[in-house]
Amino acid sequence: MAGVPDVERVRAAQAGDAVAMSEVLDALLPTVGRVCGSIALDAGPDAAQEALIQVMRDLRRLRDPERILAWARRIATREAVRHARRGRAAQGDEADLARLPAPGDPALARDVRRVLAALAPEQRAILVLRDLEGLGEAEAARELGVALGTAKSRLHRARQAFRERWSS
Amino acid sequence: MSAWPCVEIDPVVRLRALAAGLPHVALVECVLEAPPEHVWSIVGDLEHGVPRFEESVRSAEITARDGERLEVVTRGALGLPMRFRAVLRPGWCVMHSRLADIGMAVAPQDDGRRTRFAHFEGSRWLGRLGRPLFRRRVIGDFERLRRLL
Repeated sequence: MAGVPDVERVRAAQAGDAVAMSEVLDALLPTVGRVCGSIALDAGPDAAQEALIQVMRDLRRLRDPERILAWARRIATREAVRHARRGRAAQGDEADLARLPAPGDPALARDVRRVLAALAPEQRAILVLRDLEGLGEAEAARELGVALGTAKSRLHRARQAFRERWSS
Repeated sequence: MSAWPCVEIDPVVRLRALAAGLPHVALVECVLEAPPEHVWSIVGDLEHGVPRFEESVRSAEITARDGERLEVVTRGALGLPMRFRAVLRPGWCVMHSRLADIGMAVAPQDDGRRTRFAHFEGSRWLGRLGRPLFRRRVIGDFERLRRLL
């Protein structure tokens, strides 16, 4: 079971039905895995774990069960950016596209990962929400808690940086 | 799109998340000196394996099955039946009844030579107050399971 969980299942999970919670968890895993993996990179597993714990712990307080996927994605995005920032601070590593090795490796996934690693966590987040998760501009801005104009300019710079590194 | 990095979330991590939403359960983890497949051959066998290590289950009978979804009737020390709905698949088992919840998950450790085993139990009736009791029970379950490996 993947994608948007059935509303009745979500309601049962909110009432504390552990089997329904297990099914809701199954449905949310692909989204949380993609978002945390692509934004937090090496810190992805820790970000995903903390995001899922938060989702399950706060599930009862979710007012609109139909919005569960967007709600879980927002939590995952926030945790992924937080973990990515923390990792960057620990390494003393600023976003520096010039230091990135050119993506000449035939392994596509590794190339994508290298290019993403050169972007700031906030740039990865907007790329993931818009280009991987397919959100509109306004929804992506809401999920990141930034103004629409900020989201637009951040996306523009992120896409430009991605393209430059990808084609270099 | 599959080229984007994606985190594989193992069953033990999932069980930690699930337990976070069940305030009355006690989750305990241990590492077992056996591969996950061997551990799961006991832990995932609800009728024949679980009663051998699970203190609160003297017997278990699967009364209905629809893919991963099961209905299970267990009997404890007093012989009283307790009806559970369950999800069972390799590495993952969650059981829910009106009064109690049980969860079990395994993940490979040390390249699959050992197993990380996570197990929770809890009673809705006892709530958070019952957690110390269930923690001790689960630790006892681990000791019995180790003797079976």
